[in-house]
Amino acid sequence: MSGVIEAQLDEQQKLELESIEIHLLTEGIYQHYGFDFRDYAQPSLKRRIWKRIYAEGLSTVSGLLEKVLHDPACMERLLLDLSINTTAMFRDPTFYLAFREKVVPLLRTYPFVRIWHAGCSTGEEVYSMAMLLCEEGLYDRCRIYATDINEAVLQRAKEGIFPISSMKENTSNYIAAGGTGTFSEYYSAKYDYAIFRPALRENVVFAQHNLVTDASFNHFNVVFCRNVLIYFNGPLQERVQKLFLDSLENFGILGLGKKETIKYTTVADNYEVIDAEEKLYRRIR
Amino acid sequence: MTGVGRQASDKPGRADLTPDARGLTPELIVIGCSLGGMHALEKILSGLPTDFCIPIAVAQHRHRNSNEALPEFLRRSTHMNVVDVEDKQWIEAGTVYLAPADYHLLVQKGEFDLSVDDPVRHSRPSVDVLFESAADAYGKSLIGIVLTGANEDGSAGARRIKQRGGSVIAQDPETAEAPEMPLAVIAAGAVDQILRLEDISAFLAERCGLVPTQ
Repeated sequence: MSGVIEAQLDEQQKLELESIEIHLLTEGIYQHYGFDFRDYAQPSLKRRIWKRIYAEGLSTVSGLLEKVLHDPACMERLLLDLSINTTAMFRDPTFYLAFREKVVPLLRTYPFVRIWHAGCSTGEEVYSMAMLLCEEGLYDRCRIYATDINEAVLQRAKEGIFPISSMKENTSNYIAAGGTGTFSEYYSAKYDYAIFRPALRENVVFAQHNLVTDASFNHFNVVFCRNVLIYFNGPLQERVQKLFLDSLENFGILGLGKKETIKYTTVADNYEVIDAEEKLYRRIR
Repeated sequence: MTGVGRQASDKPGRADLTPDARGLTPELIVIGCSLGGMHALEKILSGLPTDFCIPIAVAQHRHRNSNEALPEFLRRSTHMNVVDVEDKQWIEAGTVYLAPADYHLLVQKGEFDLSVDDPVRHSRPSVDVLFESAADAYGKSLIGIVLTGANEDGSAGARRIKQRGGSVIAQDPETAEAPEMPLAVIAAGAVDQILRLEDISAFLAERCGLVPTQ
């Protein structure tokens, strides 16, 4: 019997030790490199950290801590693991459909539209929005600020070159999202890649911005931040939601990921719901 | 020792339950399923007594653009509230939580997280991701159930549940529309009990100190 209790205590102790190690790792990275993962949601952070530990041939979180502190190249690799969010063009097509039907008419009344796409990752959804705005005849008076914490993924976003293998999914998403043109006309295929028309990024500014540590840098009519906040814990989500609120003009639009919500934050009262299902909100105070 | 191998091969029944399995009321139940899962879930949920209220989290493989059809279907078979999880949603009694399409569902104590990390074993949601995070958060107060499915998702997660002191049930492969998933978790030696589909509700009711409906 005591053996069983000891075994379970052991598991509990192991978990507590791991939690201490993760705390030390994120604190060390913050103090040495300035990247702040301290308030990331633990379960997904832990999975990503362990993925890197195995890939480096290590066996403990502390082992990874030592390596990232003394080997910047290892930090680069961990940064990619911790900051890339997989995405697709017109991810959640119904979101873009709702945007087209419910938000575009509002934007038409503006002479100039500033859009902040926060956490744009490799840029698929930035190009998606650019296509949508082109088709609605709004692109010329829009400027999209596409930001991400990670310089390497921003570089890929700027290039606008995506694997041709993803074009089947992208095309069906495009159609489901209410696209009015022909998707294949937005890119030219070369070898295994689809190279998107540079005109699509004419009004896009790509810039590094860290949602956790950087302040607001402009006022916007639209802020998108899709499937980024899920990686943050509650208090950090609260802080970033306040940053978005401060960055939105009155009657500005906030668009989140399909299963993200402002319900659990104190800014909820500052918005009215435009589309509950698609997580489109409008700032009203 | 509970003798996992022996128990797994024996006919299920109350006498087979480990002391823990008899004594400890779980705080959370996690279920993983794939092909054939909708009907297996319907069977289990509809067989639970009306005062059953332990929260249940489900990772059922589903199409990335699937909508409200799954929760709506399941709502018809249970008194419990059935929802697609939203990020940071609290874990509350009397509710069945479904991993939303194209997201991983992860568990912290009292709360859910979502992620869009790469599919694990070609799956998002992944049963392993749900089980592993739930095992870390709930330890021995967790029951994991592996149901029908045509792949091996759930085996690694079931091992983690066992490692953290929780218990794991596999659906008897003979009663599974696709036997691969329960077979894989049995082969991994991570199972306390193998139960026929129609016996799972009664088992859960007893574990939670309730009288089964049948």
